[in-house]
Amino acid sequence: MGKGINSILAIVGGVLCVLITLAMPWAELGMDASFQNWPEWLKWLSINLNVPLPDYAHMSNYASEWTAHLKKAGAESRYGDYAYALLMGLAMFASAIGIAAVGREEGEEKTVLPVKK
Amino acid sequence: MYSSIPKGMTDLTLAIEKAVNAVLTNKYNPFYYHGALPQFYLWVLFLSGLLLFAYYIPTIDNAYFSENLVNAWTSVDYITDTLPYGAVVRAIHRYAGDAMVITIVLHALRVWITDRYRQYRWFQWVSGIVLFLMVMFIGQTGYYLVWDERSLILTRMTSTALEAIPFIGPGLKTWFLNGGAITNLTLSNFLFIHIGFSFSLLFGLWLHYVRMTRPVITPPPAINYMLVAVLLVFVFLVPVTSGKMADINTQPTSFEIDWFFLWPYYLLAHVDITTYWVLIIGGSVALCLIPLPSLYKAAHPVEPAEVVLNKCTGCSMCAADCPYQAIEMVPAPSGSRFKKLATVKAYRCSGCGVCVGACAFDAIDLPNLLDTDVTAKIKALAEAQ
Repeated sequence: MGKGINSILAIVGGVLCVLITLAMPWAELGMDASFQNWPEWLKWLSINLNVPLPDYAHMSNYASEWTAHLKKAGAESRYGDYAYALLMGLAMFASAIGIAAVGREEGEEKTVLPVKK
Repeated sequence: MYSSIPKGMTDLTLAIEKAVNAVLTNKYNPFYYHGALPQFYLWVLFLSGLLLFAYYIPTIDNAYFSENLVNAWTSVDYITDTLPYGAVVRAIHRYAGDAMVITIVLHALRVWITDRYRQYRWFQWVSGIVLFLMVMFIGQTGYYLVWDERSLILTRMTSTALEAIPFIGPGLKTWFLNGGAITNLTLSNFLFIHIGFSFSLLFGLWLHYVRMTRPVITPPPAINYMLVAVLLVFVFLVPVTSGKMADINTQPTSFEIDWFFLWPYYLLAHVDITTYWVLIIGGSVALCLIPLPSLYKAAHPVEPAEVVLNKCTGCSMCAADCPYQAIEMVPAPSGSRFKKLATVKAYRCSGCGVCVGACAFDAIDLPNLLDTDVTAKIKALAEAQ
């Protein structure tokens, strides 16, 4: 495949990895990332340094759907841990695509005939 | 008949490999790391198992009285429901075991299909079968450790099956239970077997690799990420749960089966014990005997490489490239212009032809495939592309 496709795949993989990673704190906080649940140091960053934090409000539907699935599957507590595992898995998928796209070019097979003396 | 099966499947496998190469390139083609995949999952199992071991308590103390007591089942329950990310680590440990079985079977299939299991490779094949049986047993002991009702049934089925073996059966049962009956010591023994055998896998792997010059034991990072990602997605999709706490005063009769590790118990439940052992032992021995030359010697003769004495310069390139340590450099005879001479150990040679490609002096040939023919074939293929 061409160099262009490799570059596109690398960018898409990298961006997806970052976006999914940004959702991991939401899972780490039990899929409820309202501001009062944030760790103190992050709250401090947000308030004092005006660091913008991701808005997880639109992810509440995922929280209820994922929790329902986990309860049905037999999990009894700490549902956020499972969600964290899923997000980490998806982020690793995305990063693998990006890394493979970057490394594909040097993996192209070349036939080199030995020179006999 | 027998030889035609691998041949047809080899063509199919190579066609699939070629298609995967077109998409992923040979650098990221998992077919080229099929032996490394189970080993990667072994490291995942060691690491996750270490974390579980820190919180696991191998006793059955009054396991049937109260959930407030500290014992194997409650410690697993604590890991799963209370310990931060304990359920994730437990599920990773479980699914890495399943994934290891899948990748071992695929590895063995590919080795068989591509005809890389006989001649000098018989040792890798047999050690691989032994490693697989060890992995199966280690995995099964993992199911005993949870100490839920399934663990109790499996423990009883195993001790009954072991006891039925003539002469050594009673002794094996006592070894398995660490005494005459299920006690706290039984779970200590299970834990010892689970961990001790796991470390002995490393010795087995050394034996598995010792005859290979450059075994591929580490997949590239992108594939490693994929392997872990698959586990993590399964952690979410199918959370690992325990059954009810075991009560040794009861007789639970059914359990949920994990087909990767527990299929021998399905067999044991459906045939008599003698038939079970005949099938298990007979099947294992039959797998080990697959490389027996008499089965297919006529179909796939392997002619060892031959050194052309008057052309060899003793440069050692062929010995360095040989994957099977089949070429030894010996002192050149007196009167030679060179210090060393390559010699082929016929019993180790698989006839792969790597040495022919490595030699820049046309000093080594396969008797049934001359160097000039190989070069002509490569040129024809290169030009065709």
